Amino acid sequence: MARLHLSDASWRTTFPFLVEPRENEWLMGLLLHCDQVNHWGSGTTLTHICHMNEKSMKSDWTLIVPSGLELSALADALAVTHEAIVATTYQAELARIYGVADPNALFLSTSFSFRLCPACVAEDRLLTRTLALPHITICPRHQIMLVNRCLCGTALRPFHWRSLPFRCFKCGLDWAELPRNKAEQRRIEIEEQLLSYYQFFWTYGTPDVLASTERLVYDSVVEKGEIRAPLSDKVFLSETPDRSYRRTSSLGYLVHLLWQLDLNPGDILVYAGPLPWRSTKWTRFQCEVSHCPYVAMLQARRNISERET
Amino acid sequence: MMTDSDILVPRPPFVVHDDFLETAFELRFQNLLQQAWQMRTWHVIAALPGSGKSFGIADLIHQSNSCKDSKGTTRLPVLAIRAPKNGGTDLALGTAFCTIFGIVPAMPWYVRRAWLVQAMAEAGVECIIIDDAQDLNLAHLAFLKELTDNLAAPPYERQVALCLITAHSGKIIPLKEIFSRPDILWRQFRRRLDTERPFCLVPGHTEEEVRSILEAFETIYRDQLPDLHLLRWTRPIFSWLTHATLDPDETKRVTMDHLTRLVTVALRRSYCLGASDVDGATLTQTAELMVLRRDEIVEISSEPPDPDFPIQEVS
Repeated sequence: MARLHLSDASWRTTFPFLVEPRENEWLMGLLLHCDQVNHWGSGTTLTHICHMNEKSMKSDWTLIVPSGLELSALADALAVTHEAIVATTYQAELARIYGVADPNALFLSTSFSFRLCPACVAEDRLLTRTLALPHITICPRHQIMLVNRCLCGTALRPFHWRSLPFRCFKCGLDWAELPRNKAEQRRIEIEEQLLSYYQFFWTYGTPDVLASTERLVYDSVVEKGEIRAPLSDKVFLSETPDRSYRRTSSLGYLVHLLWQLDLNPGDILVYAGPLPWRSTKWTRFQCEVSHCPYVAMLQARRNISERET
Repeated sequence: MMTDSDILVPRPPFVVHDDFLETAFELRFQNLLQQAWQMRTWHVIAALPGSGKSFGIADLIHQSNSCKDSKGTTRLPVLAIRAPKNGGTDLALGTAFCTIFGIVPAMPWYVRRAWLVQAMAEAGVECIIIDDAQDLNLAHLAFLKELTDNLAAPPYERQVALCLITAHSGKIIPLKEIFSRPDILWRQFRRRLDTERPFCLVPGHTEEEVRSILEAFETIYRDQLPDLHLLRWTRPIFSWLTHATLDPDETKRVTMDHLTRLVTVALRRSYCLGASDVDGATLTQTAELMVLRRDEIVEISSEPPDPDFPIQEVS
């Protein structure tokens, strides 16, 4: 636990009351937590850091990635490392997966709605990064449904100049008092699977793995002929320095397709190999040669994938 | 035959030590502040300019164990500020208080006003010290009363000590006249002052106290002037520094500022001359500078030194 004394030079350059990012805490939650311990209105820290009003914040208030927000200024004001603040976003993960230095929030999802777990708010005033993941509607810790509307019917907004942190801007209800509805077991199982996909990408995701996933999904759709949805949600990836763009899919979209097609992370690992290949779930590579090196390689990859899963 | 000791090695520049010395004045002054802090009493504390009030306050703050931790807890038992200069409104005083906490985002003054009370209560402020309090105006004092009243009221119910530190001259203690006015506000303010010691005056150093400070200076500067023996000059130093020019109120006390100036200038001169001790002549010359020639105008007419950098024509 960092401790600043009045004689430290950074005393005057930090906020009056300090907070540090907690495990898996989302930047949005950290900013609100900072507002709360400092007795400020909702969004005061954010406004101070980005020096812009609420109108311009609307362009990207998801805080999935910094989106131009000066995170080093926040790190200095909280006397924590820049890395600790970056870890409250998906900046590092998305940058690695998509192979870009400055990823866009669209790489995670093309649409976003703010949801929260009332139990996490009640216990720790915590908003986790998991809340930002597309298709996740249950708190993995409390196994209750995430909430996106207040009891008064108003859609929840993370920051509003008229409200206190962690409260509805319309009726003032504490988010901790929002209903806690138990999730269905079937949905819990689905979301555990979805989270395992995300975890796979956070751990192993690279542009190659992403490309393999897109190929795997495409081949699987062709194979099964079942999916009606388009194979890409048309996220455009800038390729510097010539600023040309190529089409890619958001991670949330891919994860959903993987789940729909019943593919697992192991399939992606195997598919990332150099061979033209189909999912090990329904086809096997056949070779007439008794000691085919490709069969041996595939077997080795399968072993790796089974260990990973 | 030439030995190593014959080789003249240029001396490094003289180093002035500005360590905090726990002088008799500081002990008196800090003891008063500590008591006020402990008993949560209000005082107007006056001392001559240059006595070491600000040093004493800074030292007390360092001892007060103020800290911020990353779990949202900030402790600031002693909140000390310098009174805003050039008048100003209550906003100026409020801003001075806020600055002590660190970065406070821009917010309307009515919001900041409420925030300040909340932040002071949360940080456990127990004693407010305002240095140069003679610069406070009526708006500042009214805000100070409002602030402390709000802290004392529910839900905080925190009694805080208040020490208004003023520089005085002559027999007049600043603020005393204001607090004796008949207006309700000042009567309320006056009522809050300590019963036994509402207005305190902390004097400078006696001759004996000067002696102990000179002893401390001997220790501090012995590494630069190995044979330094200042104690023998106690009496003349005390006489010079209580001269009517430096002690116009005839307190017959010496301020730390005067004593430090005299000693450091004399020691620097002796050091530059290659001496290992200070002599009477150097001390006398320095004292004359301070006492008799203090308003002398010095004409700087020597040739300017060659610049260390090449001068180029700017196109």
